[in-house]
Amino acid sequence: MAQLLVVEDERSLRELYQLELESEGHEILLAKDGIEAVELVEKSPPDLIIMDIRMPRMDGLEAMGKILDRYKKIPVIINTAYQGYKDNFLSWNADAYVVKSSDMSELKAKISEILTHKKNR
Amino acid sequence: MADSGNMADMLIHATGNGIYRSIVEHATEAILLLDKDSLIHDANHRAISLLGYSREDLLGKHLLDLMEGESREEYRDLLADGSVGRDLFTQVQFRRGDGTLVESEVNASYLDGHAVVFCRDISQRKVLEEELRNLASAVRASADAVFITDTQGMIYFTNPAFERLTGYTSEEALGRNPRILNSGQVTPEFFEHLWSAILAGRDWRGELTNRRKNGEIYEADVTVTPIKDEDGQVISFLSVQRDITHRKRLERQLEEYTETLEKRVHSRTEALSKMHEISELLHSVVSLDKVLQLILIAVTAGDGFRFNRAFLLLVDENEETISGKLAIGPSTPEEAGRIWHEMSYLPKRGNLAETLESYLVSAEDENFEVNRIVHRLSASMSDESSIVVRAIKERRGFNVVNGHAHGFSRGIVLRYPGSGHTLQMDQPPAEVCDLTISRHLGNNHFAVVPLLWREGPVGCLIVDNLINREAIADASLWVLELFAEQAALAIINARMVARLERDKYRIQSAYRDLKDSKDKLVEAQTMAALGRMAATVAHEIRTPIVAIGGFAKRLSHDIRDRHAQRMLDIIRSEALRLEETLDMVLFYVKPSQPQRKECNVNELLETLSLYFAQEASEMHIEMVFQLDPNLPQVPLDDRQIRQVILNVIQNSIHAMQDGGILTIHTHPEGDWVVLEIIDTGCGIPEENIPSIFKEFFTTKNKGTGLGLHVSYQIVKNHGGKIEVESQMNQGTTVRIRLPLHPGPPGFEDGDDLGIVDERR
Repeated sequence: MAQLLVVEDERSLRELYQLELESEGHEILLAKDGIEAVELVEKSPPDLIIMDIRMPRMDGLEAMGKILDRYKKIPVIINTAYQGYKDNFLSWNADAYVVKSSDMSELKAKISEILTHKKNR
Repeated sequence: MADSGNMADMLIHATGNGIYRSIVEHATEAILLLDKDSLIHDANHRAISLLGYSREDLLGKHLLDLMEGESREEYRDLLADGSVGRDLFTQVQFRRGDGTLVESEVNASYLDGHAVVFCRDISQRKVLEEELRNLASAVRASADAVFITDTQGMIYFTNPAFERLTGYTSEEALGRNPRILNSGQVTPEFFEHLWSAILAGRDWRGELTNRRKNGEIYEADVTVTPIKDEDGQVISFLSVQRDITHRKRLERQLEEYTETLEKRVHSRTEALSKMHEISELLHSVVSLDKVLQLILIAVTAGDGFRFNRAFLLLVDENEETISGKLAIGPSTPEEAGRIWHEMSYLPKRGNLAETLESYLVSAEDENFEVNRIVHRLSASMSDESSIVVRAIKERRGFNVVNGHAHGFSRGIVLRYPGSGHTLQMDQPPAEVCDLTISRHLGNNHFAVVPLLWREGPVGCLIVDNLINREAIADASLWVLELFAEQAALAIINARMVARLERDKYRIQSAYRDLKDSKDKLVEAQTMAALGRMAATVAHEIRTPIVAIGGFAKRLSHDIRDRHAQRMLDIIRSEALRLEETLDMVLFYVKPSQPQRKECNVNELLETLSLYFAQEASEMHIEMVFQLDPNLPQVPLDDRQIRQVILNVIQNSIHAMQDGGILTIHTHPEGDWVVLEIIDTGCGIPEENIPSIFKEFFTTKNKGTGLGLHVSYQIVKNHGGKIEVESQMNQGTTVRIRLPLHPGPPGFEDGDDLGIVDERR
């Protein structure tokens, strides 16, 4: 049972992730852009952040930068529609890079992999 | 005439008699009978026609009335002087009935006042006599020498011109044979020919070389005409001689002139055609060094202008100095003689280019000394007294003869000297020039010819003859000057070509740089634009797909109805298909470098097999896995390689519409992991194989035509290889090789597409 922060501007995807990940037994926090994400982390740092990149107001890379400045140990999975952001070095700070897919098995696998790794550390 | 009185008497009395009447009437003489008062009593036919009156008009006229002026007075005097019964013989002029005059010889016999008058028309004779007189004086006055011989060849007439021509007076010549004129230079056969012609009564005309009395020889144009008597017998020979010594001399001179001119024209024609040939060769060469060499060879070669030595100087670009560049020629006169001798063995005709080349080769070592000299000939262009600078600035050549410079220029005039038989050039006066270079050349005889191009100076050519140390003939300079024009043009051409080549190279490389920059800029812009577009498209399309597929899956957990489940599965798999297509298009638009991590290809295949299990079984396709359990891990971008495998398997399944076997095989092979996907489908036509990896190539009525292209790019970006073998109606094998130790990204050239063969 871990606390996951899902940062996603699309309402329908926020809802989908919440349903899917809660059914995996996680507690889900939601932020609809980078600013909200940074505020939420300030209030209560989660175990793991699932971060979209392209978002209004503040995008995911910027938000990840701000968060990791202060909370270096929070793992971040970038979950975006576009593989191309992999080439952006800001994304290299993330622990994983998963392209959004209706098949969420890859994302789930990454989450449990990172959490297991974190627990063991 | 003693009988004429009787005859007259008889005639007068006989006119009544028929026979005598007829005789008188038809006599060839004109006969008039006069009565005692000298009135015409009767006239015969001839008399009537002579005097031009009708018989009626004539009869009764007084004889004196028929005569004209003086004749009448003379005749009257004669009559008055004589007494009746005397015969008269005189010439008179009658005025005829038509008013014309007629000369007549009159023979009258007077008897008892009666008279018989015989008249003969002598007009014709008078004319002939006049002509003869004129002829005689003409012959005497003639400028041509005339003499007449008898048939024995003895001279019996000469005219004054004869004396002038031969020196023999009339007295000296008469009675002698024309042999006195024999010069001894004419063959006996020639005279035989002459004699046989004139003895046969024909004219002879020809030219003879004769001797004067004083021994001088003269040339004569001779005509010998046989003179014949009434019976056609040759009685004498008329010889007319004209002195043609002067004419002959002029003829000979003219011949010599003609010959000289022809020779000159011939030699100039030859020189011109040679020059033309050399010029053509010159203009076919574009390398400046070679042009300079050829110019010098042409000037010195036996086939060229045959000067012993030639020095070439060029004006520098700023026109500040003229510097010695190149020279050809022997170092010493002795050496020159040897080379000259050797050269004469070279082929004279045929390929000029080859001849010149052979000179070039043979003369290479010989030119050491002259090339040292040529550098000493350099001068500053501001040195106005230097002969070299003067030649260039004054645009004319100089012929230096024995240390005296004679300027010359185009338009050297040919003139005939007053005497002598040769043609000479006008030699212009010597000019004051700085002739220091003659010291360097070691020769007092040489020529300087400027090389000019339009307004600009190119350089100059210095030539001399070291072997014989002779002055240079103006005639050869005429051709050399023409050649200099061609040489200058060739040098300019070569320079321009060199400059053009340089410029061309510069422009080409500038163009390449520009094009590269532009290409890079365009590429960068395109990539940036594509990247932006790809990101937008990905976001705007993937998000709804993920939502659709995700919620469908979510829903299938909650709904137990099998029918609804089936429909939700379809939504899910179609959503996945859309995602695959989107990945492919995005990769095509903006390929991303593989994010490698160590993966087990076998595991990847096993996961993927789930995707196809249902479709394969529906299409009666048996899937066979032959996976080598000892397959090593390979660094790869699992998402990209998964896409490759999906594409290939998808194609294989589509190729087996009637079912078949799909074999998936893996094995390690050296530094590679090999993955083979083998179907038993319809196969690929041979002609399509080179195209299958090209973008938008598809034979299916569905699909983007990007699958194999993107697969190819991905495998290549991994440093791997993808190969296709196919047999129609038997099946296709796609072999993917992935390296265990790939090189750095971008190692492979991304532009070439198509079949990758084993050599790569």
